[in-house]
Amino acid sequence: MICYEVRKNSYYDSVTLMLISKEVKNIEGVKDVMVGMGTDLNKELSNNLGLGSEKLDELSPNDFFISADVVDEAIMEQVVERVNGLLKEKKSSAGSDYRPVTIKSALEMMPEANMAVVSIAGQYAEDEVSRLLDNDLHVMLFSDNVSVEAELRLKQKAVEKGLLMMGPDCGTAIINGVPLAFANVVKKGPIGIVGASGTGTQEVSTLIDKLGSGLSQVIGTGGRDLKTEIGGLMMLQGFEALMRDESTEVIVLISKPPSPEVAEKILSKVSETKKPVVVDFIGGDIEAIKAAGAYPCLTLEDAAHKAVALAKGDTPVDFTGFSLSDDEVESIVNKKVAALKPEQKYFRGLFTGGTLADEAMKMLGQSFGGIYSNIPLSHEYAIENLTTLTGHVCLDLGEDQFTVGRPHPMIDPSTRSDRFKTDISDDVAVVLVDVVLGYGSHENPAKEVADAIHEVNKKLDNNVIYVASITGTEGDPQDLKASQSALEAEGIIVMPSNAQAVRLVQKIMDQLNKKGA
Amino acid sequence: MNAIRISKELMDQFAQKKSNRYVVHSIFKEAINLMDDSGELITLLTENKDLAPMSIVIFGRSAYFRNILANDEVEVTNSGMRFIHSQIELDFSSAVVTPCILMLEGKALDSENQIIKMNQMRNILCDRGESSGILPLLNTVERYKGISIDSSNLRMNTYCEFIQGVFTEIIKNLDQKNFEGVVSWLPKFIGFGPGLTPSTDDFLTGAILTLIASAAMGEDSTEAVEELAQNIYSFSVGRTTKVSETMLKQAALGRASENHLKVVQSLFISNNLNFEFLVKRVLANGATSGADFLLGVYCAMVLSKY
Repeated sequence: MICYEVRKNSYYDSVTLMLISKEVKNIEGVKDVMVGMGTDLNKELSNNLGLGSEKLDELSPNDFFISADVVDEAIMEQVVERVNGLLKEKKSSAGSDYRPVTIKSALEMMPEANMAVVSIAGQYAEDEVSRLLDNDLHVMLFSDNVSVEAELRLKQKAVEKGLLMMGPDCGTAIINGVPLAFANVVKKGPIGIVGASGTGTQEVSTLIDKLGSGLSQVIGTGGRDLKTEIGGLMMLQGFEALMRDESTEVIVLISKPPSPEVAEKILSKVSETKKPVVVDFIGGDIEAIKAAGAYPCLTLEDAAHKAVALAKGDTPVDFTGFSLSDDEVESIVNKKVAALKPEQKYFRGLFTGGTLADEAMKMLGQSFGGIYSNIPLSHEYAIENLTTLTGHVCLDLGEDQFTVGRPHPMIDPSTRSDRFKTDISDDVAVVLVDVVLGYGSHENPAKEVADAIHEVNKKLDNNVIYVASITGTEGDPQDLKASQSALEAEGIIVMPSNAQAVRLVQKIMDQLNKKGA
Repeated sequence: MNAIRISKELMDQFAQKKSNRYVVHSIFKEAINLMDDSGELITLLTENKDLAPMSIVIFGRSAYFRNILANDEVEVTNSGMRFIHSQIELDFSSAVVTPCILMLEGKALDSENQIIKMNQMRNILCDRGESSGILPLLNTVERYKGISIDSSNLRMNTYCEFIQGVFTEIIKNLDQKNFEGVVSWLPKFIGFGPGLTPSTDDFLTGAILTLIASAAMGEDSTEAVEELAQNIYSFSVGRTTKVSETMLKQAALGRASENHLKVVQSLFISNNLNFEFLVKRVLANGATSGADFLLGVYCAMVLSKY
């Protein structure tokens, strides 16, 4: 018997229609089937196959139909049920593009590929990455929870084969102009970066762009690369790649302080190149860097300034100030501090970028007392209880304790919005935040911050000072200017860099202390 | 939502039209079609998709599309659009404006290199092309032109068997440059095959764009090709799906998705693009759409070169 399922003005993508056709044919009791849109010729084919009827003749080209020759009505019910199941499944799964499900099929589809991005559960990553390296592909390993032993094995294999194995937990890279994972839209130019710190690398690359220069390559290494166990294998590999890269004239290395023997190895490699090298081992040994003939930095912003100066052939100088004049800064500080109440004493740093939080704490040091944190500079300031904060606090909200069961706050800002509600009270004087734009980040993080602060302010009796910096460029899809406007409309002071935002906080806290004294 | 790219043709249309109101016509995981009062479609695409004519590529993942309601009304302003009931706004003020039209600037490819590229395309089609649409008719056109190449892995299917006779007539008339003859067969050809853009429409899109390129390079009469392309579109109205009609209309104006255009351009102009990669990108489009489109391109090339 011939049965029909018709859906008027229904549109399903081609892959869905094809899948339905194949699946329905496999149901036992289905002799023949035709699935398609109700165009005249498709209806004619149905007639030719003996599957036509007057019911089909009434269809328009924009109607979807299934006509099936089945043994009984119960089988047709099965057909309709299966079709509904497939449509539901397709809605929540892939689109209409073919997506290979194995590395083998991906390589068959794109045999000329020479780079792979891996983002799977960390415990399964080693086998997949190893297979990619065996196929001579460079790898960016986004996954975390990969063991140190596995990382070492993969990096050793990559080095043997002359490949890059960026990661694990590598969130930022720009290779030949192609941004991978969290990366900003930066101009092409003569400066190459090898970074073991995601947001640190983003901050430097965006500031280089804002200063009018551009990037040749941005190579990530993963945060553990410069630890003793790994020995800086990928920073060395990345550095060598930039030494050879003709489009790279200046090299920037970014990392938290490496272990001493790794630092020695890297600085020894640095001394082999004639290209100028800027090194920001955030808070690391400046004299050792100078001894290797490289340029040490005070902040991420300073690294960008020095790299741009060197690319222009200028002599780099330390950048430790503000883009605004001293008078303008003083005016902001005086005006804001004057509005604070006596009980407002504390600093809050609520960061989505770990390196930016780390830089803030290192710059502020002990100047107004110790800062408690989930990534403290010393153990005594480790926060035990995240539900009740006291004293000065700076949090890296991208750390595991905040991301269990929810995305990184750069993707889903609600983690930070929630912390605003619990962590900002009437005894807080100044709040420092970062806003990271670019690919991979939330589509409008500035608005999320502004909205959250708007809600918090409604519940506070006192006026809290909010200071922000935006890591982003004019080319980023979120719109840098609109982001800045959204923050400023909520009374948030937007500084041109994390370093300048921290310096402003420092000045505010200094002034506050004077006022208190 | 923020847009990162928008087709120039759509930007021009927004600027020219007095009223820019649309209704959400169809929603897919990676694409949303909007229809205006006159039945014209425009498309929002995720970043995974190539920019197409009359389309906007939005920043981010397709998750944003989930909140858009079917049949919602959409209002376009100078810098964006507002989905009224879904309460979603799309800002395209910072989107990069890109034309999606055939551009044949540069050094013309010589005939020898054109044939090399055609064969590259043919080999990929035979090795990897989805043959459940009308791709197996590649054998038909080669037999017609007396080309003897083994392509045994393309097996005829129900669709091919049904349409083969008409297909052969279309090919014959195209070969003889008898475009009126082609037009006479169109009612029996347009809107046939599986998919939201039926296979024969994808084929015609590939063939039209290749003929337009060929005419622009001085190998055919521009007026005759333009007339044929317009006739194909006219005959498609009411005979095929709305999405397919729109595709044929754009093709008649020399417009298509970026990589589809690049494949055609690379067959006529010397450039540094990775041709095999482009062909594979097009093949990955839809279920049979990519293969059927490339069959149209290949057939038009074979008819002019052999």
